[in-house]
Amino acid sequence: MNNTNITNKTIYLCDDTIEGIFTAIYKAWDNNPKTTDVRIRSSSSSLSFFESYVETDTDYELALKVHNTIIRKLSWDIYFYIYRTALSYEEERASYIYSFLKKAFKTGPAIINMLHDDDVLKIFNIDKQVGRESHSFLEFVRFEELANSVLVSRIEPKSNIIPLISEHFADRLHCENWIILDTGRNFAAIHEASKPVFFSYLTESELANFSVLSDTEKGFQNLWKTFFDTIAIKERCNPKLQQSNMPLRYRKYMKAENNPGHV
Amino acid sequence: MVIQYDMDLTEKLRILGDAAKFDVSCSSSGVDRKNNGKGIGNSKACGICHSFAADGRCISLLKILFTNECIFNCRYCINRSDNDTVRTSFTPEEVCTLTMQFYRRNYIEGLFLSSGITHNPNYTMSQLVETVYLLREKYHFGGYIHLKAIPGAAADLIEAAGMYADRMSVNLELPTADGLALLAPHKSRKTILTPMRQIQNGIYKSRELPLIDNKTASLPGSTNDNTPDNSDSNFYNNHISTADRFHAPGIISGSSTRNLSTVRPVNNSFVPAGQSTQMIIGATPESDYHIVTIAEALYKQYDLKRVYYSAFVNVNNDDTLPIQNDSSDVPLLREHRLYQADWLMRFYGFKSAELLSPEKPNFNIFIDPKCDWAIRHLEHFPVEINRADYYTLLRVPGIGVNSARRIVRARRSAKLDFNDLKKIGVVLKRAIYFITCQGHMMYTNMHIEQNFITNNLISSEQRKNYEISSHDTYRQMSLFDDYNIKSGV
Repeated sequence: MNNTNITNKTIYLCDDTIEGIFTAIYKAWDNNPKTTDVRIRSSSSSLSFFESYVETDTDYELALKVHNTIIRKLSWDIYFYIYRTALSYEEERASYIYSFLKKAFKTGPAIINMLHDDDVLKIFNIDKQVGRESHSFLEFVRFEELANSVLVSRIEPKSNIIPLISEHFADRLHCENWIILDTGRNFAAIHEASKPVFFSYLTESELANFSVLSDTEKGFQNLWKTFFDTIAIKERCNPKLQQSNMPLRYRKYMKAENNPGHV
Repeated sequence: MVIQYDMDLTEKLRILGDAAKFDVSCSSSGVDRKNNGKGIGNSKACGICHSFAADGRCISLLKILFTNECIFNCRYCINRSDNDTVRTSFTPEEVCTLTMQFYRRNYIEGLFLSSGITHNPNYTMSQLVETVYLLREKYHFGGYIHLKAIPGAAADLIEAAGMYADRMSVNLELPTADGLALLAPHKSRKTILTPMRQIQNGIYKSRELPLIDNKTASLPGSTNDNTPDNSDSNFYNNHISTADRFHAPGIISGSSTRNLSTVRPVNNSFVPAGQSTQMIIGATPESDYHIVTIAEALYKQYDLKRVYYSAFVNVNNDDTLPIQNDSSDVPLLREHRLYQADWLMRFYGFKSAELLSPEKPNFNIFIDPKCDWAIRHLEHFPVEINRADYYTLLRVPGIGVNSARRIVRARRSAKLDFNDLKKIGVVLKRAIYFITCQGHMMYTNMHIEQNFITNNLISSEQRKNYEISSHDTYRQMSLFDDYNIKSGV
């Protein structure tokens, strides 16, 4: 074992699912927590001379062991912090989770209050950011009705928030057929009336099915736009406030909000 | 009055949405309800905004008037009977269609239904009740419903409405009875407070709490409460028998002569999200002190969830009301101060008498009410971050509910210093004058002295206040910056 810290770190590369991250964490830990790290495989990260790399294939049994250990030795609350962090778009999220867990298993469940610790604060802040984005999409998801009466919504979130919002819509619109599609990831939540939601990556040909709108759809979109433009008080017009509450990036698929009329 | 029939739905929505925009409440919060298994809809206690209008205000509910045909002539209102504006009404089915179709598309969290007074208060209220009845019973709508109680409407109609609505509200309109007599001659404190008390007691009854005696109903500012009331509900209603009310045209189509108050409620709770009200600020000459004492009394005596404040906009260019040359004359900063004070009373444990007094009746335009209080009470400061209890922390300017919670949480495992506070997201700009970390203030040259602190605070606040009054970056406050996604923070 070399004494200098920077040399000879072994990086366990994994896919971007929580199961993948947990598999890599299990194997890295098994090797040696002090000399290993985990990273999500991607085309953008460059290889370093001081690191060696181990490819890991996602192993659901190992992932489940990590999952169960977190819940048994730490808590469900902490598990959800980690879960949301795993869904975030932070490139180094796997490493953040690994560093956090190394501390957490030493400290125990009380780790959750150690906000002054950088590794804990990191998870805390990412969790908050993912939570905010998923709340924003509870607000800003817009469904369009297709000719076959299926409701389709397109969104383009930074984090992979579809698993976090689908239960809300499954309860709310439980008697409807609907799809929420993350256009960046081609990942979708699919709900058939009165059945549980399932998740799937969609192909180009499947996506092409979602273009024919119902006869009344445009009419209701126009009614909504009329209401949206009318409800503003012109004496209080305040586009900056509007934008800070509803940033432009959310409005891509919000037709009325994306193209407001004159106030 | 121009009444147009056969108007197309878009035009109706434009007119009746426009007519409802001065009602401030947009809240869809306060009730958690799962889907009923039959139709669409549920409700989240945290409330969900679905859009933000060009004025930056949130759009959570489809906020419309049922009709703008109004027999009342309130001077401040665009729909007053004197105005020569186009009048129209929805049908209950039209409101249901808009609500259901907007809700399916996730445009809205539910319906906010108010109305001008058409024919008489009871007729109007019965139209509103019919609409929410259809939504709940025919369309099985499980989303949020906020319904106005029409002042002067009969008790059994209010009772029926409360079975279907999540929240109800009766607007106080103006802070004092005198102001009301002057500007809203057809309304009175009595016709407003009576349904408010009835709804309060309805809520208490459904929660098996003791009821409030109606005779105790009074509010500060009711100088002429004892004078005879010529706009009593009877003025409009005494020619309509109870039987007529339930056979009024249009009521509960197809359900024959069913008495509304015996209809089974959708859930077993009466107005589960509580009631709210709203006051117009700056149309009449009341002081801020006057307004906060009234708000405090409303919270205490009527158990309201929210009091909303609406900066007066002279939409009618009525020259008996304050003249506004342009939008900078709309008292937005004053409205902002009142909301700040309102939050201090509801969440920070402040009493109105701590904030203002007859000798100091108005808020400081330069600094916010909490800073203002702190500067006048330097004997309570500095506060030691590592020891002070939660409520003491909440009284420090710049430390809100979130920051206080995080401090209490983080200090369990470590002694905090100023750097830690920054890291966990506590904004120090105002707080540094009032706190110590492990016995030290942030800078050695700081002293707890009124002029020193005031001068430092004002220079940083001034820009913000300028922005609020000139519409630059006015922000509605948010108590929990994590949007209540989880309760642990």
